[in-house]
Amino acid sequence: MTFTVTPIFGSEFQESASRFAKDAEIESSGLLNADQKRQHRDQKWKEMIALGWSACLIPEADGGLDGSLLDFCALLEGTATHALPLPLSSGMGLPAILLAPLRFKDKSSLLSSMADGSIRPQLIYQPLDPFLKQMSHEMTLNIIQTAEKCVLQGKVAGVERVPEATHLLLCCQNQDGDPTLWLIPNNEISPTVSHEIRIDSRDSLSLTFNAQKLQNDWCIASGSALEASFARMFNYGALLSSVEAVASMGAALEQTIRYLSEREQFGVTLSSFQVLRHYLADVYAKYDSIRAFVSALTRKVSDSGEIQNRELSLLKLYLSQVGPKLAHTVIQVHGGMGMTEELWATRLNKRLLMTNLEFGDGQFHAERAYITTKAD
Amino acid sequence: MNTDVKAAIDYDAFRAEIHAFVSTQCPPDIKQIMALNRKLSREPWSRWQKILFARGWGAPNWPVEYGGTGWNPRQQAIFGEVLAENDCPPQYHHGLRHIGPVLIEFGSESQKARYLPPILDGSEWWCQGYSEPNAGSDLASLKTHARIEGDVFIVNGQKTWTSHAQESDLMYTLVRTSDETRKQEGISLLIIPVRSTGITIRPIRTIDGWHHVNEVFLDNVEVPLSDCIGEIGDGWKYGKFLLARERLNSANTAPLFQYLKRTRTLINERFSKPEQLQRKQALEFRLLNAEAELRAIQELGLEAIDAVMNKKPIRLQPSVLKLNSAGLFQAITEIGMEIMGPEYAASMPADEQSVFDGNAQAALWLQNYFYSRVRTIYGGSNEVQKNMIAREIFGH
Repeated sequence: MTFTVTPIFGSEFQESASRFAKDAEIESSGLLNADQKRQHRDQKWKEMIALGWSACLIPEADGGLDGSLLDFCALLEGTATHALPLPLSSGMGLPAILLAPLRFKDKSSLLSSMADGSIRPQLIYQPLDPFLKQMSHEMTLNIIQTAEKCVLQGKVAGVERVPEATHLLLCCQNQDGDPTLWLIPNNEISPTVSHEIRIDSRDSLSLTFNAQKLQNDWCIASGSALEASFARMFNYGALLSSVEAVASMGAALEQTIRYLSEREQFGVTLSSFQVLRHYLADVYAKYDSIRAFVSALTRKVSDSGEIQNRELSLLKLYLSQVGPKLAHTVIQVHGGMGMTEELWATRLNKRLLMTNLEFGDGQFHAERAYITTKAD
Repeated sequence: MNTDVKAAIDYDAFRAEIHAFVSTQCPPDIKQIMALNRKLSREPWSRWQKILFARGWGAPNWPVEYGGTGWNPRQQAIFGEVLAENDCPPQYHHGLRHIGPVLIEFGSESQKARYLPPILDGSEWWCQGYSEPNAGSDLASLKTHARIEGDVFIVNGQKTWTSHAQESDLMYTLVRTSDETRKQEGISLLIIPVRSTGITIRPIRTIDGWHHVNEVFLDNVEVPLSDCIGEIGDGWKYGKFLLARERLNSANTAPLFQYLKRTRTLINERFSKPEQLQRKQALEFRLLNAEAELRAIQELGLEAIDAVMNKKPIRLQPSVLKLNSAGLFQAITEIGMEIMGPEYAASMPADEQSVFDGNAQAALWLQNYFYSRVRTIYGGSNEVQKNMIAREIFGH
């Protein structure tokens, strides 16, 4: 019997999420044009809300399911095995993670609305500290905040789109450099919006704000507590992205090994060629190691509630070594098939390559680990 | 993790106890050998074994009834880690980890009484007579032959790559006692004193300049029948048992972390001038990449130990650990070589015995660079490990 993935966060959540993503993949395979596909994705997002996934990380007291980080990772792992092109992490996980440590008026009501899906926040952020800002090339957001008026100006590009978002959950600095967090009703503003598709087939947005007036009471948090919470959310984002990456790697390996075991050339299966066997053994060895690293770090974070920058950066750095290597090997050993859109492994590969760039690529995390090494 | 076991043993206290002893009781000259990555020879190594034996820690992997500690796999792993973290040598493997467990499992009572105590106290040293000129990875093709004459075997043949033969007392040796069956059958495991009449040891000079390995020629060597371990013809089974006991060796990543730390220190020592900053940073980033992989290997090792503790099957982890850690060690030594640079590369010691008047520390980095190449060859080469992984993931 050929290799089958053992899930890191194996549970009913993981299994049902995997089934959901597989069904979504089958349904979308018959859709030809981009509009149909986007409508289908929006429909699946509604179903995810109905399944309670948006409530997973929200406390029971605020109308949520009070799920653990590991529960949410189980959902992520399940959906990632079929490269579900929807923003589970940035749409249903990170907003709750960002808001959790903050205190502000009507917080419970907001969380409750996020849990039942009546508020669907579109997370947009401008990295706050100078080091994180290195990653932003297309981010020029600027908020002028005075007692009399608030004005948002500038552009943000490459935002992972949340289907039918009701609000922007915007985090950026004001004119004094103070971090601010805004919950902005979408129907109250009119940015110029352009829609794009990311390399992993997820929807993305570019938004341009031209002297957009904001109401002062839309600002829900600011100051050092927000700065700390944002830094924490960024790290969680990197960790959750790594969970998805490893799930994609496992599924891609599984599919590729099966393909090589079935496909015949020169009268024998491709899996009988030692060079191909060794390629796969090589990347399997890397996969096994990164899987153990992700599993251990996630459980550690779940137990302690804290993420050490250096540990996380070493994980992302290693992921940047092994993720693309696995993706490229999968394409190579599939031959021409590896270049086709319809191949399951190709979609997994694209998601894998995207995760390598999310929340800091290898170079970013190497530099961050370097700085902490020096500080030690 | 098995919560019953965890509840019964305080691993932090256990770690602290090991640390308290080894950090103070390991002689400074022995620690210095480890800290400088020198080659460790029998005298300091057996001296260290005697100290551990006196403390009751002579055999972490043996059962209590044979003088071992009876520690579980997690405790054994912690012990290995703490030794490395304190620049203390690991215990000599051929006796304690290789032939000792085979004797305990398959040896006769008289063999156990004769051979186990000197392994424990470090007074007797073993080497492994496995590989032959035409039987390396394909070990079952071995040709060294033993025929029975009266109450002795008469052994003829040649072993090669026999590490430590020059400083050993005994060699556990796979020999062919029958040619009439499939090649894995008809092999027996004999105990042969290295100084027996008919044995000639010839050193093999390796690329690191050190003397590790030898050719061992056996010319009508007489071995009592009573020194055959287990049943005649079942040697392959015992050899496999031995290898299975070694499967989690690479789970101990502490020596690699130590080597990484030394390499980082070396960068700081060698590149302190402002004009060297770019080169320094480039090397430091390469080392960070190595550290990232090492952290991943460390977690895989811990996962494998947990699996053993919980009696779950471990199939691929040993090969993956061996494959990844061997390559990583080489990568770190490559960084070390570049730190030393061309001027030191021009000062390689002629051989182990030569009086070297250059920079001895630099020479050790060069020698370790060359020595590291064997990591992907011995104990099942990279190619063998990949074959094993492929067989498992492809199901054939």
